[in-house]
Amino acid sequence: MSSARPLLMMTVVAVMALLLGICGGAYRLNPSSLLSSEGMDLHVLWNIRLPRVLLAILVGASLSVGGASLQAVVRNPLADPALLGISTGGALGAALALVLMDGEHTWLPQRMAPYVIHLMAFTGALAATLLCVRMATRDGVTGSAQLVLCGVALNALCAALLGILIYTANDAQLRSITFWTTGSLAAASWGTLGSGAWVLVLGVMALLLLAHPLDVLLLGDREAGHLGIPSSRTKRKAVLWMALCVGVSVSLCGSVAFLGLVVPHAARLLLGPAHRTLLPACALCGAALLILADLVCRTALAPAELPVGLLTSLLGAPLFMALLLGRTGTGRLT
Amino acid sequence: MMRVSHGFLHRGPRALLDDVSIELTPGRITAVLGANGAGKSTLLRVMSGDDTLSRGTISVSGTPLNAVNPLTLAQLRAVLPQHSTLTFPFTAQAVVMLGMTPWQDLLDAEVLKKVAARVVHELDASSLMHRAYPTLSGGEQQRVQLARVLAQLEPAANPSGCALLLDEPVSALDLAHQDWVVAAARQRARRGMAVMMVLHDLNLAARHADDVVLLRDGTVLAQGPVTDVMQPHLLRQTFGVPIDATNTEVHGRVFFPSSRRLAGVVVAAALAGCAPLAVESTDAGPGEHTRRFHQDAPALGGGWYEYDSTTHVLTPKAESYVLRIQTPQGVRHTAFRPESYYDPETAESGRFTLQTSIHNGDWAAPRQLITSRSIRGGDPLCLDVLAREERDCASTNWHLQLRVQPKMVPEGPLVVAEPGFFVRSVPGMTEEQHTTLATVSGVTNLEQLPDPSTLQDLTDRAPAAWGALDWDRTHFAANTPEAGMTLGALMRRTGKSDAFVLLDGRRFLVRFQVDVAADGAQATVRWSRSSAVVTSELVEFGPLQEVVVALPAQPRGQLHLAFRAPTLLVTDLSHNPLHVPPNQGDWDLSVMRSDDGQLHTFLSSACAVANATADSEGAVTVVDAVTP
Repeated sequence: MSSARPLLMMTVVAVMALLLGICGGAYRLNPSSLLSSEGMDLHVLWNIRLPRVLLAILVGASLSVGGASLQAVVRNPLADPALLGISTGGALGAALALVLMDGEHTWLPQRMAPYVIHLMAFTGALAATLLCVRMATRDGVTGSAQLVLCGVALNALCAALLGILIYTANDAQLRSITFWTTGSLAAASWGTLGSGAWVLVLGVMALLLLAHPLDVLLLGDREAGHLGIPSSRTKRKAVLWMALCVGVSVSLCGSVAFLGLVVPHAARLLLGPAHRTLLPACALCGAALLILADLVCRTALAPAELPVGLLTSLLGAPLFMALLLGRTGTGRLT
Repeated sequence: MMRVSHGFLHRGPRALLDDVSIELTPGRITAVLGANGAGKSTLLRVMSGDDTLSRGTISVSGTPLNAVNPLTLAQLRAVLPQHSTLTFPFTAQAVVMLGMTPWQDLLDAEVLKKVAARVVHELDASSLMHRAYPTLSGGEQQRVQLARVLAQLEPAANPSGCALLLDEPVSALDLAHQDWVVAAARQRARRGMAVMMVLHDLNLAARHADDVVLLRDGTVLAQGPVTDVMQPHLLRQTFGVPIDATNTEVHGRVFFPSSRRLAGVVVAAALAGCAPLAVESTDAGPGEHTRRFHQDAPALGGGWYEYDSTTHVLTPKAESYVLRIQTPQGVRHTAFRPESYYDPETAESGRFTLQTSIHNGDWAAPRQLITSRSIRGGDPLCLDVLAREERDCASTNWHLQLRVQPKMVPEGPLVVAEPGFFVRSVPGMTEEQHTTLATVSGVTNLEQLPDPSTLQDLTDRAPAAWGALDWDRTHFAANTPEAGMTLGALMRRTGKSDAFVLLDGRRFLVRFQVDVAADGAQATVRWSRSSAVVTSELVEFGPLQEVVVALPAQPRGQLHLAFRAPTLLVTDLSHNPLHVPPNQGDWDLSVMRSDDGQLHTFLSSACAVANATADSEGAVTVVDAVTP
């Protein structure tokens, strides 16, 4: 297949990004002696770099794949989890869980707390998705402008609710909430990975398996039904897994905006819209991009660190504007 | 193969489908015809499982539709919806391959690709395959979607268990590709598939379908083999417009809405009455589309009357009376003869004011007046409204406003004929005679000009009470007022040109002819009296066509003809040619009747003057034709 070569290239790039991400940073590691590192090197590699890069891979892949799936479900290449308020919904869910599980009143064992937060983030993301898509859909058609506007409204609503939570939160909670709204991989550790990584792997795998039904869904709901694909069930599945990916990503490292828009868009330009190749490409590119973006954030202002969500917004927002202008100017849809 | 029995579908109070039972037979193409909103697409949606019936059942080879496994169903039934939007940049190839979805787990990808390529080739879409779907034109997209749908059933092991449901598969296609598509559908039917097509083109259906289902307002008006169902009277009921059928050698039966190729002229003996006219519709068969309305004409009070051609009711109106003639398209003529009315006060026939105006369908809005004339009762009058195509559209209405003297009393029964025929009311004439006349006079085939011999033939078959009718002008002049026949035919030979022929016993006729290819030639014909314009018409005609304009012979007046054509050959009725050299400007043809009854014709322009005279009988002699 002609898409094999680009996918191979993307894999190579992703591996190189992985190496760069592991070795680069305030404390440089030597790539040639990674496997034989010891002492400080080993500590940095094992306890700091590796969890962080793995988290970047998982989050980058799940946000990109989630974004691409969302775009297929709403048949609109402008959909992005952050833009539509899905990330904010997830953050709101996570913050709600955090505030409700206030230290004194908690009835849960401490080690269950991350799972509750993940679950709440997933619930928030799912609720936001359903609300936004429902609001923007008229007669089975999800309009681009409508979708973005509903996303803006939803974003504002969730942000306001978050604000209320911030008002009532204590200092420790406040830091966590701020972390969720900006997005950063700084909290990466084997502990956080252990609580959420498997969920993300599961979500991405499930979405990859939906690739062909998503292709058929692009033809239209009725057309998919005629081809034997139960469209509403497929859509429900895709939305569920997408919300899981996005929600858990948010609860792990906060809202990283525009990744779910930029990566699928670029991958579609390179490989076309067929999801069988698009989704793996999104996973690879998303992982590579987030590793590199995180590397930039870690090193640009070292020893201080920039939240990676700010960087992706900084890069993604102009691209989104360009996309909007292109669409209205020429009627093109990608 | 597929069967809908007693299907009902309700949306709120509306019944979209009302007791519909149809069956798709293996190996046959079923065309579904009907007006917009008749339920064609709804039926197709229900049969494809997108909508569920409120009541009734759908079965596929005996199994209820909803009990069939979706994948199994997808392997034996493919659907082409009316509109498909796909905005993601798939290649056309990828779109066609999506049609193979039901088979991807059963068959090798390479095999499926080959099968798809064959279908694509069959629809002449191979060259499109590497282009991005959103960049294709509407027709190309339709072909790609159709290829996807046909490909879906291609691997089926048993084609005779398969059904192909196509909603307007050729709506965006050019003529050549319509053939490709129909041929592909026929090929599927030959293999045993049941094919259902929602169509708008009657002739496509007549030529290619085996069975036809006519839908109207959600019910099946008729269904069965194409020859049984494609009957003008059924089609007319289906679409609400008169539809003609003509047998042609090459294409068999050809159907067309009558209004588009309207032949003939209406002569209404008179218009009268506050009561509804008795309506008899005689959809007797091919070529005949006579409708007669007759009643004992009631007395008319003074004022304006409105005639509604759809209900055939003439009602007095507070302010004005409109003879409302809706022109869906094309040309519509109407005429009335006030002579059968007279004013009891003076024992003279009354005066009518007739106004013609064009309108955009909004009855309250101001109308654009075209003609207004005063007619004395007893004057046989034929008003011909030539609706020119460019300003004619579905929403345009012609109004004929009729104003009568304070009191008009009928002398005989009233007959109003709808466009296409002329009928004349003669006291004592039997109904049968009316029918005969209406039938024989209908010009049913526009490809044939009603040349003198045709008209003579009509005359022979007309009741003797009507007197002689002859194409020859001198005979016209000899016609008595009582026998004063108004006969006309409007001909459209090509889509671009009109020729207008009108014979009238009491009129002076001018005939002109365009000699060389001059599509789009125009002439304005204006009859003025004492410098006031009485009538003015714009006539358009093509090459080598005759245009004859009827004018009131009396009293003294002036005919003004303005031509715009590259070259003209103007002939008078004695066929004396007035050669007119090519010119760039307009031509004026003036006909003057001098006090001694001589008629003088002047044709003039910047470069030529022709002079002709006519005697009291109206015979025109060209005196000279001078090129200065």
